[in-house]
Amino acid sequence: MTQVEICCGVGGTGKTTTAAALGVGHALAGHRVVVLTIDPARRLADALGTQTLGNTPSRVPLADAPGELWALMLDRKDTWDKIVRRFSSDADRAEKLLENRYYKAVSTRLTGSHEYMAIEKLHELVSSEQWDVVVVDTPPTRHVVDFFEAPERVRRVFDHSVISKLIRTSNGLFGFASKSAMGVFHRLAGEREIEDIYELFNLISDLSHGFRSRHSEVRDLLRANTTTYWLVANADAPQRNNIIGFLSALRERDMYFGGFLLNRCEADPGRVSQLGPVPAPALNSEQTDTWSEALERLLRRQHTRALRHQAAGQGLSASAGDAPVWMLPELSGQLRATAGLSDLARCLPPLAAASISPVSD
Amino acid sequence: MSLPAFLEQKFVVVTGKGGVGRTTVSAGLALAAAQQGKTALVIEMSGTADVAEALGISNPSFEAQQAAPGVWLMTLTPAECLSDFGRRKLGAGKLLTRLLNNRVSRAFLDAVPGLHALLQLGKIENLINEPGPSDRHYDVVILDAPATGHGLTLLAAARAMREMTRVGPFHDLARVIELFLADPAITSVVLTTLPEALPVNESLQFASALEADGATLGGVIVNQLRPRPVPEAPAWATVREGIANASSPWSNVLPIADRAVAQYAEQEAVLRRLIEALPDGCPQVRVPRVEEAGLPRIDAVAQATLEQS
Repeated sequence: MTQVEICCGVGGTGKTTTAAALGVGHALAGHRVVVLTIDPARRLADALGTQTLGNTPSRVPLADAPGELWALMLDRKDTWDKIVRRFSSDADRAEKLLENRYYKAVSTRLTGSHEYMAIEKLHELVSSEQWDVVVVDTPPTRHVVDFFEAPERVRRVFDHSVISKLIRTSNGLFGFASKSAMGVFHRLAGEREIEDIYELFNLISDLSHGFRSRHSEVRDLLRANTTTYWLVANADAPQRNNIIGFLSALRERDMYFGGFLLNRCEADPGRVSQLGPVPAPALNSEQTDTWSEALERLLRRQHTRALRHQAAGQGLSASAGDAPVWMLPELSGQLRATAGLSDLARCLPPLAAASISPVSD
Repeated sequence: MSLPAFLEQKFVVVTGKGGVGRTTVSAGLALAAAQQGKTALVIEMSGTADVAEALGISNPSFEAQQAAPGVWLMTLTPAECLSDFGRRKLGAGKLLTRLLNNRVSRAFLDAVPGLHALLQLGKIENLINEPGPSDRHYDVVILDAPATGHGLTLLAAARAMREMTRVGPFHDLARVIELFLADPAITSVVLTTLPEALPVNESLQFASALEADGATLGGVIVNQLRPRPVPEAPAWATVREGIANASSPWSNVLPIADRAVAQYAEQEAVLRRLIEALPDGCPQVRVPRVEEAGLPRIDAVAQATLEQS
């Protein structure tokens, strides 16, 4: 069975880097792993030190790894088009839809389509049975739960009963309630727009069966016991509000929460005391004073930050029923290809045990 | 102390990549405007309670709430904006209820790309240009906008909607919003960034996308600037050598100072690149790094905004 690891989190928490490090960790642990990113900003390619990533997996060279690391970047249009071809009842209809002006404008921009495409691609990777592990870097959203809701949202658009109602509306047959609601919608949206959308829905109506059966497979995959959700957070801004919503969404859907991956944690240099003047022969006595002061300030600040990050980690763990927290160090300077990622990977599952033990009350 | 030009506009859009502090900056700009005697409204589009929490509001809502003297907060959810738009176009009553509660029309409305953002902007435009008798007057409305990640500006989204619909009330709304956002007398777009390579790269890409869309950048907020970690002279390498050669409790400081010096050098390089790439006279606000989250960071933004060069 392919193991699936899904990295969730709001934008700016270092999801892409963490997903890449998780991939490196699995390769170092001897697994054949593929990392899927949705990020159009090429951050995964940059982090892995490769030039380009396409819509199919490409191998990332990794020295001294007993396993294999592969990566790919989602091409939304390509993935959508594939779905249309697969779910259409005949090739002509598929091509007609792909050429439809409105389809072109709408397909990749439907609300939730980023997330849906990612899940679709994940399904494809798992079905291929070629991988020990698939790591998913989820699209940046403000609400981490958006990811799970995407299949449902997209399914609703393609829901057979909704579509057939719409088609029947345009043919003048259908229940009073919807008819009058659509009448109101006509007034809001304008007649021409409605006609355009009818045409589109008419064309895609024969995709709905495919979407529906795929939807249940995808739903099963997302809540399979081989699928683990990680929440990536920033040590300086753990954002409690989001986390509680995320966890209850997981619980409602019976999904497995692996733990927190807390980014940019400081290592603790210990309490600063009795350092004396800094031992640098090049400095005169006045310079020695200012340098001693500046360096001591750096040590003190780091100590304070490290304590705060520890507390943040414990707070997260406590807020999630003693869930494990992996503390990841801040990488120095620019991320340098896979060397920095290997260092990060050593702090992550599967290579490290959780760095915070559950807090007991 | 004076306000930067962009805060003299009626509508300020605060954008930036995820994690750079847009929400903190939005609140801080409002505080700065209020300290200069203006009435400011901060608008949240997302429904996350972060800014509200920092400003001491526990249940942000569609009704504006006062967070501090001169600072108001309002959360615009797509559903409420849709009802509001419907009310303005259809009048309150059964018709509207029917539309909003019907499964078919809901699926329809949820699927229209960009419609949610457009309805939210429509509410803001209405609030500024045609406030109702019960609406408060605001000197400046500050929008905590979605992340710039997908490269699409709000302006481009409005244009796409206009081109896609061709006729009808949504088309009309898109046209109004497009004009509203592109009007330099009303709207200014402010970019928030961190003094780090990745956020600045994305900011510069966004600035040129904005220019290509025919809009101008109202200002740049560089958030969380690090202070100079060690004295300028002599060079860190010289002092480092002395510490490395002596066996003393100071050895702990080596990796920490190495990193701090490297980060500061990166910050300075990135700031130089930012200044070179920005148009002359584009206001810049530099906010020092504040460790404690919440109100202290918001205050820092307000102070830096009032003291901006």
